[in-house]
Amino acid sequence: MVSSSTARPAAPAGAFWLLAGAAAAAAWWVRRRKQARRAAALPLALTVHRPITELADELGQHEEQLLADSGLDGPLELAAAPGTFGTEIRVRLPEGDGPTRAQARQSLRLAKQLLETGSTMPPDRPVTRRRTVTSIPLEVAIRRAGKGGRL
Amino acid sequence: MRALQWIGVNHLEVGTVPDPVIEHPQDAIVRVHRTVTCGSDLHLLAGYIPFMRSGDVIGHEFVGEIVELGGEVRRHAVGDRVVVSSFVACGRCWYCAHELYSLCDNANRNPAITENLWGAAPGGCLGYSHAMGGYAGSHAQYVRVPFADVGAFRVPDEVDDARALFASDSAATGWMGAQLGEVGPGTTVAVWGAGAVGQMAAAAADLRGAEHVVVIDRIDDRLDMVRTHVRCETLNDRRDDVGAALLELTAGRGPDVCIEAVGMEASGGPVENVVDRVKHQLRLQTDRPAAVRRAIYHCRKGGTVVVLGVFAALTDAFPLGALMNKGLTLRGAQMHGPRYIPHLLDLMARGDLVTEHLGTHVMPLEEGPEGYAMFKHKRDGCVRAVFLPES
Repeated sequence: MVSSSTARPAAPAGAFWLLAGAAAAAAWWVRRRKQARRAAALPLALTVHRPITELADELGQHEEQLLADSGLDGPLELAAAPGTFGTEIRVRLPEGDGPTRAQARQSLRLAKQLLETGSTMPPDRPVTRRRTVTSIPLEVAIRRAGKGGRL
Repeated sequence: MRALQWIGVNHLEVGTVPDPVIEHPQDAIVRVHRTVTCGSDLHLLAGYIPFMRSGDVIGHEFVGEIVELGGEVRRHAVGDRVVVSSFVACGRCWYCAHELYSLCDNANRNPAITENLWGAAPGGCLGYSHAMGGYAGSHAQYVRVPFADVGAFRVPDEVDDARALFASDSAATGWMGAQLGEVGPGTTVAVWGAGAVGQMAAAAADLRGAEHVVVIDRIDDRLDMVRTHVRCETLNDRRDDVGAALLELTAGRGPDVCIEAVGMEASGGPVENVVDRVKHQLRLQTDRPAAVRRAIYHCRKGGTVVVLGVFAALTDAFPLGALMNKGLTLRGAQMHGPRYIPHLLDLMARGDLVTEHLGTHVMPLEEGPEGYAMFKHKRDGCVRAVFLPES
């Protein structure tokens, strides 16, 4: 005689942990999205090793061009940095259409080079490159190397 | 021109690449007289620093002659014999103004890579991956030197190429170790690693008036060499009880300053080695810090540990408890070359600092891959292989 159980089979423990993991990942993703939105609302900021009086004069002459190049929606906010650091520069990205944060980051980096050294360093070009599949992630990283990061 | 290129993991070739050109008005082009291997290159070679393009020219420690200048270079002329800092620095940002040249804000062309990895980008380094700016290196007939007024230094006539070569990086790194440790009269200094940087750190500690300098390694040839050229004692980590010897030397205190000059591929005890190497190969950690662990363990309470070896990112089994409970100061940096090179050249000119013995094997650049194999496996007593691109 074959007996059969009428009890419902218990849900496998693995399914519970899978769901819990998925929920945790979703919560993490939502939190990261909120953090990213808050970060995007912050101005881009960097410090230039020049006195604020000197920099204000120079930027006064070139600000329009700098803003046009960077696509930023000025004005630049200048503040004396603490101690000997020089001048803090903050710029806000325009609402809606306009440069991406990545483009603005690149422009600001180049502006800092220009203001501190008088010229900008040419980008890292692959003059001796031999293509390999494993170097694709590196190529992506290099392409984003001026536009990404923590500025 | 001919150049030594990184092709892939554990694969170097000498090939033909385009000659460098002036790309920036503060550049110089230098014809390389001598260029030398560095222990940190072995991390690139082994693939532990995954930011190399196949075909990249490596090498960052060299001496040569200026053959072309950008329009804004003021301190140099064509024909100058120069030694060049391995780290590239603009000379104007806040870090450069405070002589922290390897932290330069403007010299790393790929800042996002290290900003994401480390939280902030250091300066650039010649021939040391795209994480450090992607600059072509010095194992070539010619090399472009960015910001030449900041990083290139005229070599005094009394100093030959064989000696000046090491001011570029090894001697400057060693000197920085002693300076970061604030080594002076009365200090006892222990140095882990008797390679070129460790020997130069020991020499710097001695020149700065340290009471005792002890160098620790496992290779007798290197320990013999350091005893010959530097006023110091040595311990062989395989034979000697290093801890007991250091406690006896300092009457139970321990060294005031412990300098680590080994880097991310250090070897430790048998079990430690197995665990570290398995984690390293599985990429569960990027660094094997056996020498850092020892430096922290043996340092006296309240002392200073200086990390000169190159590390990539993450390590396990770091003795944070010892660091905190013994009240240690932990310092480290890439080399601030322009801060030290002029003084080192003076010391070399006076004969107070000798370095040429470090270049144990001198060979044409065309033999570069063999030179690196010899250097990597420490064959034939090799401390550093020096390449001559012109021969």
